[in-house]
Amino acid sequence: MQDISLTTNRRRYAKSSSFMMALLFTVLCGAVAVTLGYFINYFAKGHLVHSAQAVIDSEIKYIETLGDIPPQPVDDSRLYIPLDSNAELPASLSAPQKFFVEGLLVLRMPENDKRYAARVHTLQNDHKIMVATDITDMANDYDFMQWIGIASIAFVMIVVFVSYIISIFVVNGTNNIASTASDIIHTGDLSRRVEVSARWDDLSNVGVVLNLLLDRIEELMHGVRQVSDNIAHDLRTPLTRMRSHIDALQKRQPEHEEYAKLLNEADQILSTFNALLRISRIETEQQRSQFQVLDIDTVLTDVIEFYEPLAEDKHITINCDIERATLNGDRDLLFQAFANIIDNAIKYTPEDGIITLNATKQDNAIHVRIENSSVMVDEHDLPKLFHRFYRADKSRSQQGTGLGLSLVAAVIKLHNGTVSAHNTPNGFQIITQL
Amino acid sequence: MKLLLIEDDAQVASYVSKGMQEAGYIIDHADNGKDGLFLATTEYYDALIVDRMLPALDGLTIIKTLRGAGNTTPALILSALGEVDDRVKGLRSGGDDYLVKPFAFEELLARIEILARRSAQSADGADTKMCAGDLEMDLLARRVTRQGKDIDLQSREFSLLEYILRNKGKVVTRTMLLENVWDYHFDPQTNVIDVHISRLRSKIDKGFSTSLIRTVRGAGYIIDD
Repeated sequence: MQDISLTTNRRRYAKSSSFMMALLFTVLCGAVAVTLGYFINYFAKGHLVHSAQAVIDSEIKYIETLGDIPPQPVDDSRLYIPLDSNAELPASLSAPQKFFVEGLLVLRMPENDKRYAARVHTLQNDHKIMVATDITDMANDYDFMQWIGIASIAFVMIVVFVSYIISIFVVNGTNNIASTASDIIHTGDLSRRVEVSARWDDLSNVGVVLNLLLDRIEELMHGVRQVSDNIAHDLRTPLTRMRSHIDALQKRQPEHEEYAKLLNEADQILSTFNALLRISRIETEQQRSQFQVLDIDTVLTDVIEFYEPLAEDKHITINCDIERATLNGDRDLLFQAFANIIDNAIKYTPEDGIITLNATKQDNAIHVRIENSSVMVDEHDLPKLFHRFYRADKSRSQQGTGLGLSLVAAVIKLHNGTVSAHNTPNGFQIITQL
Repeated sequence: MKLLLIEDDAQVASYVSKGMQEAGYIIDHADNGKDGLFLATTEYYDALIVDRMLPALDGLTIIKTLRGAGNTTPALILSALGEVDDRVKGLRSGGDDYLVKPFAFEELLARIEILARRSAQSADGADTKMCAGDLEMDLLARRVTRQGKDIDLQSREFSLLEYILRNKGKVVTRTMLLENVWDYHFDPQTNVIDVHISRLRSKIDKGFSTSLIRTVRGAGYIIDD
């Protein structure tokens, strides 16, 4: 079974491109808002302060030219408020609101609710006078600017929040599609489909299209299987006839050695066809009518016992450590699967080698590890070992159909288990999980 | 011994009929289910060979009907379908053995010989002592002796020898041994059975001039007196 780890397909949220984009946009928007806000604030404030200061300065100059004559403001946009010697504001005035800059204060006149910028000036006769100018319009503009600044910050926050929500949505959507796809790759179950809850967004649209694609692939796969089944099935009958003709010939002329060779060839082809048909039947029909609760340890012990003489002939030692365990399964198929693995192990273990079979129960699953001393298999070839007609030795020198491990994979999948091949320091290992 | 073959494929039918006649059987042939059932109920046969897929009446129904009527003639089901499921369905409906097409004629012959003989001596009950030549097997004491000398066999070797002895004089095929001695229906990729037999042989023939278990080429093994 191909071992594609889920993490590569189901990307972590923080690593996903959608999240990165959202983050980038937030940072850019934020930077723009902050810069803009800063400049608006800076210029508006500067303008306000400078113009207020200029007006007050010219008023003060004007008052100074008047000498002792009590000055009168030209219009109601100017205020001259004489102060007592303590430089305290008359009680009628509200407290100064804030300083813009050193020496400039803002007052709010209760009677007309206007705001004034003011500065205290000491006259030549040591009297203090506060010169104020109406800045209501300008201050309102400034407040408005400030409000815009706050609003733009709030707006940026909303953008951040919305983009966060969108990125979650997008990441979940893509993860959903990716996990369905990787499940299909893992289990080979082409009947799985991407869940599509709504149809308004682009991702759902992708899901719908992907599902249509899966429909098509499933149809094609089914077609291919059907064709190969039909080929195997249809060729089996004439081949059987041919075999019986050869058989008859051999009976008539037993002295001809060639007939035995021909029979052997025919049997080889037939057994390949049978194995192929058997695998496809197990895969497509998913028959579980023969499932029963069985002792897997008995099956494993029987397999070992069955193959022991073959191993002994090659001086191979088989070490077993089998824990008692029961499972719901097909006895004959499981025997066949483990027999194929052991058969393979014996074939590829050199003389005087070791085969280790280890069966343990781990949280409701039964792990069967079968390891044999042998040469390393190329890492790339490991998952392919379970493909039909695949052989690690390119020469195809070993006898057999090249379907043994495919049958194992089909049987284990029927039992909702997994099987995988690994290189180990001691050789080669097949791990089955049931 | 008289057999009835119910098979619609003319090629297979002629192949089987010819082979059976050569092996000394009298064989009747019906090419559809209805005629087959009629023959099976009206004539006496030692064994039936029934194809599963037949025109008019399928093989399983024929066997069910026969069993329903109290006819216990051993029946072997031939089938192009080959999975365990089909086998179990076939055996449940009253079939005594099941063979998947394509098959080697020797396999069919071996199975029929045993089925037909089973019907002939079903009343005898199981023997507790069996022998072949100078080899004796005591099932109760689980002892095997040859010329009075004890032979030490492992339990699987004992079962193997027991099965071959039970069918003394008949060919037992490798598949039959797998199904009956190991009790698994499966397809060994290598001829492990031959290795088991050769071990058994080495034990029972060691120190004796004659070899008891003979190999029948292309078929299986046989033990004779």
